[in-house]
Amino acid sequence: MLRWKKQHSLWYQNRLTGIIIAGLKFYRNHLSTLTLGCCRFHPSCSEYMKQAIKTKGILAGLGLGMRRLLRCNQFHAGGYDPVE
Amino acid sequence: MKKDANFLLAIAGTLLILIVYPLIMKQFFPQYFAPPQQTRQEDRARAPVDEHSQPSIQPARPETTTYSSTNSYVLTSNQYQVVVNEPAADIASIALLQILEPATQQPTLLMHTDNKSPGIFNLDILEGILPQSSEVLPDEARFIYQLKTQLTVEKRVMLNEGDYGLVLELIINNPTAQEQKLHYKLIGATGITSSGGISNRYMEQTTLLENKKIIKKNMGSIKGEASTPGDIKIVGFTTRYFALAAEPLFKADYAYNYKADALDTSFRSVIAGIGVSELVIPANGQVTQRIIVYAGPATHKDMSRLNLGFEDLRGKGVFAGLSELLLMLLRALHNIFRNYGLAVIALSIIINLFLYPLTMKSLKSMKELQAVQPEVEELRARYKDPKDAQKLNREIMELYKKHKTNPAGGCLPMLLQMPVFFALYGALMKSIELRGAGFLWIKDLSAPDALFMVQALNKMPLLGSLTQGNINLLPLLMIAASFYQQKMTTSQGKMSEQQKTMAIFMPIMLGAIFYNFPAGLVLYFLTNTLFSCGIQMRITKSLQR
Repeated sequence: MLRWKKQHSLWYQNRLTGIIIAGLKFYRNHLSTLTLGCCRFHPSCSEYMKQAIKTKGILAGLGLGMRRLLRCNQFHAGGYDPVE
Repeated sequence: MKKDANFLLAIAGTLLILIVYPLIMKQFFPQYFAPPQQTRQEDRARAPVDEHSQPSIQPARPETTTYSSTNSYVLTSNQYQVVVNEPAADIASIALLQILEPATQQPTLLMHTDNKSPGIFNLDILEGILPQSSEVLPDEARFIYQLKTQLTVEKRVMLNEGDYGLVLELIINNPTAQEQKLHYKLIGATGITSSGGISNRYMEQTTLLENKKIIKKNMGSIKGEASTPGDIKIVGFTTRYFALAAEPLFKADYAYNYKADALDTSFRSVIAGIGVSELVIPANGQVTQRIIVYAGPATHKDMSRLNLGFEDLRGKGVFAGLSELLLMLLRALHNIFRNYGLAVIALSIIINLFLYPLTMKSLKSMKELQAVQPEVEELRARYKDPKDAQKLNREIMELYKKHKTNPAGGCLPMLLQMPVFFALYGALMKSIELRGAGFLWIKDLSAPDALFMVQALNKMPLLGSLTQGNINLLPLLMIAASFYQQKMTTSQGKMSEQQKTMAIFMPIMLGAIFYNFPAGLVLYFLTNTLFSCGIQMRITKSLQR
């Protein structure tokens, strides 16, 4: 029973990850033209969040992405900052 | 190359949506595209009215109701002018005397039924009624009639002094020696008017249950009868600025809604009401039931004054709280400047002042940026191959990091602007204070600033559906400003071909998106853009020195 539940939640997790990543991809491909390269980092915040979610899972990935967004302002030097 | 293709795809997709969407909407929701109705002043000017001179009065629902009214009376209070029909005591129209229509400076006509359909407080147990007596005071009407079953029904309509409430009282008397059972339906809200255009999107039918459940429906989707069983708390409508809703102070068994006249393209014949499945009237006894009707602006302040939970009619959106906050700020600014257009500009200045430390920081690092520029050029020369684009980006970013400078503003400042923007949109769409607020040539900050109309433009295939033939000056100014801004930004560093095309298309795309937005929102965005232009100019100047 427990195993079934675990599998079940995993299925939902995978779908949710897929949806979030699709959203980020859509933003990168179509909407980011509107912001015209405002990001101070490489890879950019959206790319970073995508990678973080892929490698660290939804919660940790979103957390990392949020941290990155908060850092992405004039008080931070920016630069090359990949997901560790 | 792939990015270019994506970019073109995005533009093609946007164009496709712009063209196809209105056509689809017109097909499925013709009522949204109906021209705004003329408010019929004459409807409430007559008192009492001789209905025989009216064109055919048809019963709306012949199977249950025999609807006919003989006379109409006008009740007035500080807030209201209400027309009540005799003998059913149903309310045919409600005008709000304190709230003037911005265009005509006439009292706002909140609801009015045409003579084909019954009004608020109509009961479906009118079969074989015999009018007995009626009494009409300036702010109160009382009609008594007898049913075939010997029951007498007394209906009273009372206007509250001082707040937006009407009290409807229903007293059913049973003079016979037998207990009688009754089931009835009562109309709680009907005849609501829309000012057309974008306002049609905000026409909602809401049913609130005692267990806090909220059922919301777009009024355009109401056709056949639908009923909601349960302990009904409130049933009614909300529009962009107003609410019309009824709350029974007794136990209603179900709520229902339907459209009385299927051919009517407006929302006026949509009816929402409550039903009682079994009402027991004891022998020689009577039953009194009260309904409170809220008819007024859909502001939290006014709706909560009755203390009956009408404020729950307005759903809580994601940005509702933020909108409320922003509105408070706008009100405060309005108190200073006495004009909402100036208040919006001041709001933009305030937000920019908040972001000022960030802007200053990037201004200061501009000198270093210029110093780094030769090295950047060197890198660009080294990684000319498009394959190395990723590597080039990384190297440039490393370089910036080493020198603690960066040309980009960052994602956070952009992100911070977003909630303000959505909140302002919410405030402009739903706040009655901003209705008809003028500024310079703008007649209404909550609508596009249609300066004049060009019929030829309306007939053009793509531009016609986008502009509706209106020339909106503000979005055009915005396109010009953001075009100028783009030009200044792009002239600074070297840009790829793709970025250059974007720099041209972006302002145009933005303009297309903003074209039919409320003028206040465009004004805010325009001020913001002008601000960035100013900052950009300072940057260029400091670099030249």
